[in-house]
Amino acid sequence: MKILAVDTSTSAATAAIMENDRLISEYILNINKAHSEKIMGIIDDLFGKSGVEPSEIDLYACSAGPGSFTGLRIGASIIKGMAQTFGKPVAGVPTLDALAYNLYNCTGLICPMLDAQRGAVYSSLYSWEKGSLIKQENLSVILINDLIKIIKDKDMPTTFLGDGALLFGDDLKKGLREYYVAPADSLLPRASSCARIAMKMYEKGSLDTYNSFRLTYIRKSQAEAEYEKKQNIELMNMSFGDIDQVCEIENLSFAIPWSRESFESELSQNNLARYIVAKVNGKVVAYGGMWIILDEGHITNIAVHPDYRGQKIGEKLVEALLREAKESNAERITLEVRASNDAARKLYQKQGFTDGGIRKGYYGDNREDAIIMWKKLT
Amino acid sequence: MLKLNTESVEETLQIGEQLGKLLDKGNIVCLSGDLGAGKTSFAQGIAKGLGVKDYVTSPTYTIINEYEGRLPLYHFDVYRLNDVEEMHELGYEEYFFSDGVVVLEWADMVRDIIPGERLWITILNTKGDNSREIIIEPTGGVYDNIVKGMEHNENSGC
Repeated sequence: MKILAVDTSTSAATAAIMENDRLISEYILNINKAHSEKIMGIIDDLFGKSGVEPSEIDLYACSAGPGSFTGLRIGASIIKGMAQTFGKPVAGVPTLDALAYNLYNCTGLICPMLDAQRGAVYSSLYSWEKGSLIKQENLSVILINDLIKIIKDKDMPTTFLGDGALLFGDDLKKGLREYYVAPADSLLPRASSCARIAMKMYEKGSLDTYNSFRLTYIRKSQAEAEYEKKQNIELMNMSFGDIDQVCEIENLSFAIPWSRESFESELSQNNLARYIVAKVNGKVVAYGGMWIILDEGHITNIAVHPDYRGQKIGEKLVEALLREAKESNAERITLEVRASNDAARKLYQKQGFTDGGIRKGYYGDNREDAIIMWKKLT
Repeated sequence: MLKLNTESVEETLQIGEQLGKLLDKGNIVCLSGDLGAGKTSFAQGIAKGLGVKDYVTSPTYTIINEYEGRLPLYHFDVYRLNDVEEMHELGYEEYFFSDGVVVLEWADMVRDIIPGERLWITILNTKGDNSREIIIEPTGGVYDNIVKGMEHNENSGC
């Protein structure tokens, strides 16, 4: 049985033709050029030099991800195209498994990691047991520092590979006492490893058609969520020391900003007022406040620093205000919002606020209407 | 913030070219402006300034075009995306946090994912003729310096 395998998940483009246990030809090209310009030439060369005809290939294999989205798509479209043309099955090989296959029967832990940008990697942990590769832990997308922590706790000799091992070499050095980095010939994906796993998949019958094969992108929104968690958002009562930063956000956010004095008197003289700030790494990035008047909470203002919008910090702040209002025995809570401020209105609707009326021409700068919104606290 | 006025497409292109010469790896340039405002002309100028030899066209359908210049140029046009979520599906981070320069047309449509530090350029066709008002707003020290460089060019008549 002949397999053509392709891996373009990293900067290296690699392709191989294998016939059962015999590696007929393999090509690795790790130069700074787009895969789209490299890979077809490589495949053409492999066929030409090895004397194998594309029609002789029984199984088409490519890395199924994770890895560079663009790279994966290029490999997958070529393999799907050829599999469709010749009516042959496709093996979608997990990129990290294939990388671990580069280090056959290696002792200790194997940690392939691929760059996922912004200090994160796609990774999993493997070990070999009597010639079989065992996946110990699926780490999906993880910040390099968290990965190092996990490996430190395992206290086992670990071999790293993948482009992340180069990129984060310094972090590994700083964080770990004993570790190894795979040498150049096994550091990056090799199509022959991909083909060997494809063979196993064929034996198990876990193949796809050109039509059913899908890449496994680890969705970045997932990565984003992880990133957010790590951002360490803290909510706390506003103090005088926060006012400078609060004023900066106020000025960036509103056409008619409150003065510094207003915030000072709210904090020092107004017993009805409750103000909360959200801090990321100690810096104020958002704040909100309200007055508790008898059994009603009146939200006075909410603002998020422009650089931190779209990270659900506003929602967390509103949730905190709602909790605070409840604790102060308020039964309802209300606020006013500019009719044109869709983002804010959506946010409040999500939190259970409903439109309760309009104040015509409420905003002094452009005579815009204010929408009054209410929410019952039960 | 720097405001420049141009009287023709060529002049708009020239400003883009000046900017292109000042850009460094990892820089992100966001372009906003209505249809026909001149975002693509401005992007062509940037490409020229980066030493790109290829003819730069709007990637309206391809979403991303890559060019080789003094630095790699990743030219995005996100007009046809339905949702900012699609930027994640594209794997935009491979380009945004890379060794190249990103130029992003219709940047306001994907504002949520644009890094805090960037150069924001708004092109306005206020008079309805070939003249344009170009507003260049830097966020972050790197971009402040780029704008200072452009101001210097303006003052010295380059």
